[in-house]
Amino acid sequence: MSADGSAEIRQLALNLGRVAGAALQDVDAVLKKGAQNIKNEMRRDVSGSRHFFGMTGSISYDAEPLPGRPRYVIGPDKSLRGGALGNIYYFGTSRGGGSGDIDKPLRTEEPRTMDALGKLAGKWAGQL
Amino acid sequence: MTGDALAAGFEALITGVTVYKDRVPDSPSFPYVFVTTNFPTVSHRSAARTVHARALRSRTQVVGLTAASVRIIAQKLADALEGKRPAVAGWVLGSIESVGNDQPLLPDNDVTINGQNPLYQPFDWILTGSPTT
Repeated sequence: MSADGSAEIRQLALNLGRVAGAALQDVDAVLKKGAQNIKNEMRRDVSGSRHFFGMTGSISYDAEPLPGRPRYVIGPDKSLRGGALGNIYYFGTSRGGGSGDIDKPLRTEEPRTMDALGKLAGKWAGQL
Repeated sequence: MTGDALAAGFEALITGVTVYKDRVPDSPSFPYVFVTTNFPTVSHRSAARTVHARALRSRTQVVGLTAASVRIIAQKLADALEGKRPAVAGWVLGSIESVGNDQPLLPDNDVTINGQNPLYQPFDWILTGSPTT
């Protein structure tokens, strides 16, 4: 230990830099896994629909990161077969409908992803 | 304190516009709002697993023959619901909040009225409350 603590501060700054560099990749891996799980549940849900099962294969996810911020967009892809039915399945028409619950897979996944992010934070804290 | 009373209290706030519930008639009066409301599901439990809160979710389809009429009715709907706190016996309720769904105003290509497709936009709402007993 240095007398004024400056060496420890420099080491902490160095470790913070290392953790911050890896953090983005770690968070991205967690979110990607979550996106995969949400996609799978959305597919399972719609595959049981008598009228909309044909859009099952159109549900996918894409990485759409912003600077310093991992991001995934999940849902029916209108360019794929059946994808154009997504609006009607989830949001209905002027006469109602919208039997699909677009929030349910998110509600299922949220605690798992939050738990994984919490474990990541614990890991980072141990590296400082 | 029933879930039905809670749904009725929510729906009663929507006034000054044509409202349809359960189903839209074959020849509806335009513009209109089609309301569907769920049975309030458990949203929060205590550590002992007792139900602390339930969430009532509602979807309102605002339908009109022009985009302007949809926007006008949507404004009335938002004024009637956003931030409002209905009084329902047996419930301690929070305020109604809109839930973003990113849905645009779209034509309903499966319905034709006098040679034109009506336009619609869905709006989602949530109301959280706790039964008093």
